[in-house]
Amino acid sequence: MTLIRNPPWANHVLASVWSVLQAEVPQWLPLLDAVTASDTGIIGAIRELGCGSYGCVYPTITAGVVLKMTTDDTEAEFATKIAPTLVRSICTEYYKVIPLLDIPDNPHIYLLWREEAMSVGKLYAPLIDDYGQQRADEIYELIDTQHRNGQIAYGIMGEERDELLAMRMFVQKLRRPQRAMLESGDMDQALTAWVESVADLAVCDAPYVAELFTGVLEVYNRQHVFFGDLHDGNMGIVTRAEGDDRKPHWVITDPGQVAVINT
Amino acid sequence: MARAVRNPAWANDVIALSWEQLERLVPAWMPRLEAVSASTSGKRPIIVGEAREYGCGAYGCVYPTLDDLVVMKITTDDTEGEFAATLAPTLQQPICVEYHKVIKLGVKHEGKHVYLLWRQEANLVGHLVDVVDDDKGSDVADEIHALISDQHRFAQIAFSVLRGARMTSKFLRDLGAISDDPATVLNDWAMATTDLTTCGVPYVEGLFQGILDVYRAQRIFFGDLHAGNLGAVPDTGAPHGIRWVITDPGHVAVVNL
Repeated sequence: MTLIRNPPWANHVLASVWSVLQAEVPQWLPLLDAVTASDTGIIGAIRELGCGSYGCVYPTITAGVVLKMTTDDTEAEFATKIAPTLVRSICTEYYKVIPLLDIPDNPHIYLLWREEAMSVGKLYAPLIDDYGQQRADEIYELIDTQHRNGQIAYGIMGEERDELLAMRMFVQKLRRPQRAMLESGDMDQALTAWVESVADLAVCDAPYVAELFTGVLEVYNRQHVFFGDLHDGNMGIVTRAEGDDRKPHWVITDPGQVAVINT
Repeated sequence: MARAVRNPAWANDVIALSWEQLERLVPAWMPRLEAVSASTSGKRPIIVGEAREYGCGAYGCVYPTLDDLVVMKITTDDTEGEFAATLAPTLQQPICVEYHKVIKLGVKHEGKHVYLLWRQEANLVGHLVDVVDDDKGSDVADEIHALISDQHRFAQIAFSVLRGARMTSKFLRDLGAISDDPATVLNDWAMATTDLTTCGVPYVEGLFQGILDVYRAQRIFFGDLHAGNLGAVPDTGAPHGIRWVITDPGHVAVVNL
């Protein structure tokens, strides 16, 4: 389902760089829908998988590879510098990043090509199927807690604590200790809380959730890479070869608000 | 360079109609789009682009693809479609561009099936005589041009006869045919082709010797070989790194006499 249609600005950007894409990444061109002939050529709509606040994801002509257009510098930097170094495969694999530096009025647009993930944002249903409503809710609460702790820690390290405190919807959902942590601005405390909530998920009943968060924890412990925006909408399934088999894994599909912590 | 014949509407329609099929079946060899721009259709954002052809002929057009080494040809010539699918892979001599894929579409143009062919890109198409001119001078180039034209005329006669034409046909008479006996007209064509195998220009001799060898060994006859249907492909083992080949093998027949 498409939540938001390919917006005109994104369509404009892709049209303006189409010749570059044909030359540099012909195997990963966006798919076109509803192609028709016109007096002068070909008309088509670029098919999108979904759009959010930072951009859109598009299927490409190579099955299993999607194109993401984003204005999120942190994801582009993560894809370029950090993702290839991760000690655990907790993210979709990135194949290429092209920064678009010449787009008028849009100085920070990146094109990222990455492994396609399925069931993005649909973790809840298999949890219910596998463990029942109550346990699924408990695991979801652990994910929410981890996400809120991550947001608090990222807000503190980015000196955006006041902005977070001003977001009533966000603050209303915080538990008292979380709110106190945000108000105090104690980054060590916030990071510790986030790590503890990740650790809770690493030992939860659902092996596929535990596998992902065990990886997140290991990456943090060994590489000090922190993920501040891990919620169910940023997770999906990839199927990867393991020996002669291909096995599904839940991974991070949208690693925004990433930071490398210098302890 | 201005395009001699613009991408005709029917060929453009074929590309548009088959676009999503091509995305699934041959993503690496999609037609290359030029002059892509953003627009809207109602409220829906769209893009507009042109599939600009390299050239068009009587049967269709040739287009660049996303792969610099492969072109896509739209043709209604069923003999070329059949040749590409069944005969080209069997050729005992490398006298043709290499075909990579053939798709017979479910659409027709002027009552004829439309084929999409993907083949090796050739250069200098239609410029063999110019190359000979640069290489050997205008006298030799004129002679080669005359020999190729002669071969083409006999080939057209032979193909028409194989298709059932008789001396009562104006087409045959206009071509100067003096027989409508299949064996005789094929022999005339073979003789004219043999003249090209001893023309003194090695790369021309090599191509037509190959054509003759294929005809003798495999009974595959090429009925439409003119300078415009010949081009060069890279070949590290050949002089100057190129080999001349047939780029547009229409009017092909397997002769069973």
